[in-house]
Amino acid sequence: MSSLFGILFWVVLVVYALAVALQIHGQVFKRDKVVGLGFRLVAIGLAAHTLLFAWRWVETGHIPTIGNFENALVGGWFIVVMTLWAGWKKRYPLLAAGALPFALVIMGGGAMSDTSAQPMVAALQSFWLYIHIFFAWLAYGAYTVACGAGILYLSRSKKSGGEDPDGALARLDELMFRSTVFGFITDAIMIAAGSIWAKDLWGSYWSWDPVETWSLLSWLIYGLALHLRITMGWRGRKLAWLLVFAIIGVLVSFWGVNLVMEGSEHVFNVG
Amino acid sequence: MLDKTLFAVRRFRQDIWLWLGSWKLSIVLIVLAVLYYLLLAIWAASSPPHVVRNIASLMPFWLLYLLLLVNTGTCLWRRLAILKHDLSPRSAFCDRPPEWTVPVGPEMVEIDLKRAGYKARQDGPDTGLTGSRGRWSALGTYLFHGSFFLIATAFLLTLAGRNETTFQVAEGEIFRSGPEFVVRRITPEFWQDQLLFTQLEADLGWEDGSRSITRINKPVMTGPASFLRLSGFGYVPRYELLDKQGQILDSAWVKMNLFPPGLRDWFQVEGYPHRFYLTVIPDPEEQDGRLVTRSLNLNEPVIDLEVYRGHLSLGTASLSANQGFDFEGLTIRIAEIRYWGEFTLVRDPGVLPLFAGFALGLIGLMLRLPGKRSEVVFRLAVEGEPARILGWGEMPAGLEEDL
Repeated sequence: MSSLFGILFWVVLVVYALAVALQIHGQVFKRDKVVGLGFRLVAIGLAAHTLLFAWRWVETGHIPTIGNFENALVGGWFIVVMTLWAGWKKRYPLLAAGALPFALVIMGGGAMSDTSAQPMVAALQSFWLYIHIFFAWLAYGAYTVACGAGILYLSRSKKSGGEDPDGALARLDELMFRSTVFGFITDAIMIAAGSIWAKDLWGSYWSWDPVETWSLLSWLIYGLALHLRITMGWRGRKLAWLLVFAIIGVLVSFWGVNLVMEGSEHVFNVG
Repeated sequence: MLDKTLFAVRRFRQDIWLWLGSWKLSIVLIVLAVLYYLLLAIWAASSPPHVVRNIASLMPFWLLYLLLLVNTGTCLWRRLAILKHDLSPRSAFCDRPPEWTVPVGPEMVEIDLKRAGYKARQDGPDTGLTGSRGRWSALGTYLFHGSFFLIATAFLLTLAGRNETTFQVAEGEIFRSGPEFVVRRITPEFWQDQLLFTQLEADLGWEDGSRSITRINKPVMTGPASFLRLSGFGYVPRYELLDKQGQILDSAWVKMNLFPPGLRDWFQVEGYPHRFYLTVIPDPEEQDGRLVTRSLNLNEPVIDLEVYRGHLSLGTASLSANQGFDFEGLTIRIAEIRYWGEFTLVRDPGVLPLFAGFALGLIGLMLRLPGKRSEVVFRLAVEGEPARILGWGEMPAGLEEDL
């Protein structure tokens, strides 16, 4: 990582952190303009983040998908893009305060790992890898948005005592549900693509590897959330709590397994 | 008495049927599956995959899978009538349309409908607009849940019929214990001088004269349920054993475990008591008076050789191609080095049903993506009256507000 790249990376992190701080400040002191300013700051940070993404791509000659740093860089980018999109679409800019801390933690963690450029080893040169990783990012981004919306729902509903005069709680509830549906579908594609890739690479489509097991577990938890919502009418606070806790499984499979365990075939050091 | 018993039996059967197809049972089973996978995930942290695989196939878990399938199947069966209704044309789908009245024009309505994910359609110059979303959503639910049966079949087929054989075939060698092929060439590529394959591919020639390239990640299909994949790589030196007059007494290719460089392996020639220990320096250069390798590519390689008889070392030498080492009236030389590939022939009858299950499930999810079916009908205002929206299905949060 060149020094200019490193500086820009940390600038992006600081901009995101500042945006979250502004939004929290705006919310606490009831200043909507400050919340909006924080949201616009996220957009500015995203522009620089996109530049970093492209820079890394040009520098390494491949889509940044190798190692913890690149996964954090691009995974964080997806979270920010989806947060901005959802916040704009649902006219709820405060969403950034709920979802962006996850991007900050993931990117900060990525920066602590080996940031040197790695080659695209033979094991990773697969069309299915791109499908697998692209949909993993989409799924994790959507789950993070759902979790962020859940956090905001919990905080707002507690403050308002369940009253929803401006329809914000209804919008958050809808966003939680929609994000979970989207995440569930993209997660399913991620698991299927990973399974096809595993068949090509290891000769077996399912090996009970820790990453596979955690991914399946996360997918099931979100499936449970959807069933509870659709069949048992879980809405509002109950669904929000579930989504806030469900993100733990995602964080473990995205990040925790490779960090803590050495037994995963998903840790590629030698091609 | 008999009537009462028959009634009780019938009632019991009905209760079981209702219970097996209930959503509550679905929730309980998914919660159990979550707990079960949590256990496996924790186990997987400290145990190799085969231990986790063994736990995953214990009887209680089979029972859970079975109940999940039975519950899914019963749910799907019991809701066939609802599916039929949900897929019916709009006129049959919308039984009792609730109505909304909104004071906006048709252009505004069209924009808002599209924003909410509806397909908006002009019914006619004087009649107004129709919005439709999730027309095939219910079918999507069916396909998605139906795919579980294909995936379960795939797992069963894999469990019953999967086998794999691993073997090594050298460049130029013909493999005959299965689908017959010759390895024409193996090409490894490394990143800088590190042990990172950026490419590893084998050029294969088949019995019928066709050729194919297989790479790590790109197996060759050898049948509808079997494939051949390249999974490893190594060196194959060809030795020549000569007598004092220079006559070749014996010569052969030997597949050895000499990769990565530094690894030592040995061979023995039939009829002779000697053991030949080899280490390959693939791309040699001299540093501080000793030979080291610049890269992992074969570029005028040097062989470090040590000859033993019993426990007695008869000498060592660093040999280039065709250089010989003399010992006890004999000469050994390494004439050439090629590559061998490690191939795995996998037969897995579950692969195709699994992929079919994935495809079906994904089609189902895509159909389900727009959400529950919703139909909205907009009629132009009669002069002097506000515009009216007639809606059926669940109005999405925000649409009513937007309108």
